[in-house]
Amino acid sequence: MSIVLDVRNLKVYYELGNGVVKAVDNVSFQLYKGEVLGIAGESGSGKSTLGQAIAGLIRPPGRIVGGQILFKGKNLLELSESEWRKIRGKEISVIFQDPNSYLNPVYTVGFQVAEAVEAHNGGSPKHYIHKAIELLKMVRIADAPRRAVNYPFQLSGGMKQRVLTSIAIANKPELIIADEPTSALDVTVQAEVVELLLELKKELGSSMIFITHDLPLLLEIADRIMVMYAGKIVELGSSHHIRNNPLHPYTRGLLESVRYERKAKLKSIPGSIPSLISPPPGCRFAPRCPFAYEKCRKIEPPLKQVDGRLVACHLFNEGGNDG
Amino acid sequence: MGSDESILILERVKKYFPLSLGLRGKKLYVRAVDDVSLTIRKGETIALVGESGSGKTTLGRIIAGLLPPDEGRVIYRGIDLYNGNVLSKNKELRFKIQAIFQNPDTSLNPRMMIYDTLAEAIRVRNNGLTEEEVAEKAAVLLENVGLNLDHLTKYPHELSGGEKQRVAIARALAMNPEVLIADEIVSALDVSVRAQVLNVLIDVKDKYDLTIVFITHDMGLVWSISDKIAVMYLGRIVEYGDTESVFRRPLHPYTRMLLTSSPTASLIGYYRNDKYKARGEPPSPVNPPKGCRFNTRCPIARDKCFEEDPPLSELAKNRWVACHRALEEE
Amino acid sequence: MELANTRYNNVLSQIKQEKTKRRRELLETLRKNKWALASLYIIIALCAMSLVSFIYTPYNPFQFNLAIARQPPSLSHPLGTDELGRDILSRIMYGGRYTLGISFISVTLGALIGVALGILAGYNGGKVDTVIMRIVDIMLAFPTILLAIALVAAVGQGVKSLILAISITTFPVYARLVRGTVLQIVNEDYITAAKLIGLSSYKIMVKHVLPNTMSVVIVQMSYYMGLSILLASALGFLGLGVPPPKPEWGTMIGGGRIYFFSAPHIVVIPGIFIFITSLAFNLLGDGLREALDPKLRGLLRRG
Repeated sequence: MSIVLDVRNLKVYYELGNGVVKAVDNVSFQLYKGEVLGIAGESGSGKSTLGQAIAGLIRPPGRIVGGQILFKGKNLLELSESEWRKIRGKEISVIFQDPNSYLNPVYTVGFQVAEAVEAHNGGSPKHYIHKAIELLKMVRIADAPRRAVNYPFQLSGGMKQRVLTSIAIANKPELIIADEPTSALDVTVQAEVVELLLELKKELGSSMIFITHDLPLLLEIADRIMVMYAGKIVELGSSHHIRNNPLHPYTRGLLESVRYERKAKLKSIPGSIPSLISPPPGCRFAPRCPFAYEKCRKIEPPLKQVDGRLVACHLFNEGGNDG
Repeated sequence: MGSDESILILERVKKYFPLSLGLRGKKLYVRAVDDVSLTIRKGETIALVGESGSGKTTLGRIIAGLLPPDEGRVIYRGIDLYNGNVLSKNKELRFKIQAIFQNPDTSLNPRMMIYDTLAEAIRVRNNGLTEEEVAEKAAVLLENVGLNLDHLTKYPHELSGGEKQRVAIARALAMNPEVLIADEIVSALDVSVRAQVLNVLIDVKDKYDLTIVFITHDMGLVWSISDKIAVMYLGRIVEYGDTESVFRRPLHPYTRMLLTSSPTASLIGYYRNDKYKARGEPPSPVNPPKGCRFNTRCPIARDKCFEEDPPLSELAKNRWVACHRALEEE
Repeated sequence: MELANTRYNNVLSQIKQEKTKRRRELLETLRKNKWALASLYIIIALCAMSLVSFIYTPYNPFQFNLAIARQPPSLSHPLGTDELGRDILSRIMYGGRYTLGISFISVTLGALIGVALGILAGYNGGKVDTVIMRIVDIMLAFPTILLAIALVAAVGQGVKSLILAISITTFPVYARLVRGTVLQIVNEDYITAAKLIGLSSYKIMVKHVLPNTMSVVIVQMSYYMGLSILLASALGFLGLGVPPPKPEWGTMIGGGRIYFFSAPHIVVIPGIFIFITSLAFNLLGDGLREALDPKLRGLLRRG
């Protein structure tokens, strides 16, 4: 399998008045062609920052302070804004959570889709209105020609998310970054939009990074899942592994807290996410971890290959099955 | 759990919200709650489930005494909660039904210390307490929701989302209620802290002998916490029954669709049927479809479904379903 | 029960201790804000100066002496003399009671009426809201100067009509501002919770709504503190304000305007006082807003 995206030692910090927030701290991973990589994490895990960094959307006070993002071998961090514009929306595109803030209320959706095509092909949006209708059909919007002349407020939430999706796929991107694309939608609507995303991804032969707090959803749709905690990767493995045999205590806790049992006390992870300005020394999860010992509070565990996936935890030995 | 003693009865409750953009002469209404009847029994936890526009939150507010219904009655222990358009003047009645809401960031007055928030409620409930007694009661309440005395002197912004929701629970408990309405109280929280809040809810339910109306869209939570489930769609209850039996054999096609498309429900793994894979979006509650309201998305809808609105009827023992074809096709 | 009592018996004293600590923190926040602190001192100094004028001024502020008219600052007249040879320092001291008094009273009055109406309108909505806001709209459309003229005609020229004119022209602004804030606040869950525990509407408005409108009100008040001085001056300039020879600062500027090029200090010195006062109130307002908001206070403490 060929590598589409290779992130190496990426660090993204936010420089705020009261300190430096290490939102993404030394993160490395690869994305293979055609796969869906799920990034799971709670608020403050750095998952969205990571997505923005890959799409070149980090704005001050955020800053990429180190590492490389190799997209088809080329380091995205060395690109100028004008070079970025040629890539963003064409080779890499992004779908966000809130369709309302990404669709302009004063233009018809057809025009906005046409504009996305025009941005990378030149000419005027008017030339691409047929292409836009075709794209709206691709995202299964019924009666696309009529819908194309609607304004965003005339569409439902699910429909708007489809329009955003059609903008994202307008130029057949190789990489689609979906940041909580369905979190604002109802489950029955979400199910349909997610299915559509996966089908389109397959049709176009793209790869996808699917960022969400919804681990159960990722278990259904992702090929591999990367679990983040406080700016770090804690576990990265196939959905199968994560679902049936999660290793990292945080992954286990996360999974247990959504694996509801009938009339039993719910399982929770005690405490809350640490401050990313002064994270705890050693393993960042140690203060909440039921298995933490001496070493965990002093030495930061590296990501190591254990039982067919990567885990950052002292409880496990390299290559071994258990620690 | 739950007894036969009914504590709250809703009788054909309706709530329509007028829309200001009605066409000339023709008034439009959002039919938020449209003819809902429901009996809630003492000590049970009933989940009101539905998606946006289902009317579950409106129904919750009606039960909480915050919103008078346009038609129908809400009866608490034999007493009408509303006198026509206004809330009953009976203060005791008002104390007995309390509610907690979704957003931890607006649930507490940002300018009041946690102690003052609790003390206010305690003083309203109990006349003539000394300051020591108020403080002691506040301390006990806070401990009952798993917080400690240090939290008394904090301001809301110094607490995490989960802690704020627990204070909101404590404030409700200060009134010594019998019914607690919990409207999406964990939806805004991270999953790892949700359990902390829900476990508190389970604890205080026993300690205070509460009846809980748990409003949510998350089928996983329904499974874990509720005795009864009422599934709502476009202002109507479409299925009602014991949670366990509904999860094992959902009868209404919409319940089947919810269970099939909900990732947390599929982790539970009782029901999944690809025939009921989600399709379409709910129509507008301003103009619900003729016949069965679910007919635009229903995979098993037939002629009758497009003409006749199915009533909620007992299709199996203790299983109430509003569907013409629930038993014909699974 | 005995046991429980011993467990909780110092809870109350702990709460009280913590509350005193928090109150001290409030002052601390204000003290740490150098600009606000300096402004507070300036305002205190200005008030003290105006109070002193009741028992002492270097010269009689009304005594004119054309022989020494329009003299620039000197040792005997530290701020110079005006177009009639009166000592400007004495006049500034004496005039402070008008200028500061008028702006203080009119701003407070305007804010009281405006905030009360804004909360009533926003909290109750419906007809109450419509009636109040229509009145407010009418008041906003009414030109200040015209109103002042009408008032002068009705009440007579002087401090009273000036205060009335300023309060009446400013309260609709507070009302509209507060109403907007209240419309957001009433939708917050803590208001619903207050209704649920059975608090009366009056208590909810006073305890839960009012404190949360304070940030916007304080900012507006400190802004109007300066503006009302300028408004009083403008009216004084048109002869609708405090009548000469009373040395209201704005009236002083009006009196000296024709000598702006030959003796600029006559205009500039009261101008500087107006400027400093207005700036000090604005900076103090900002500081107060920070100190009174528990959230902002926390940020500053961490920072």
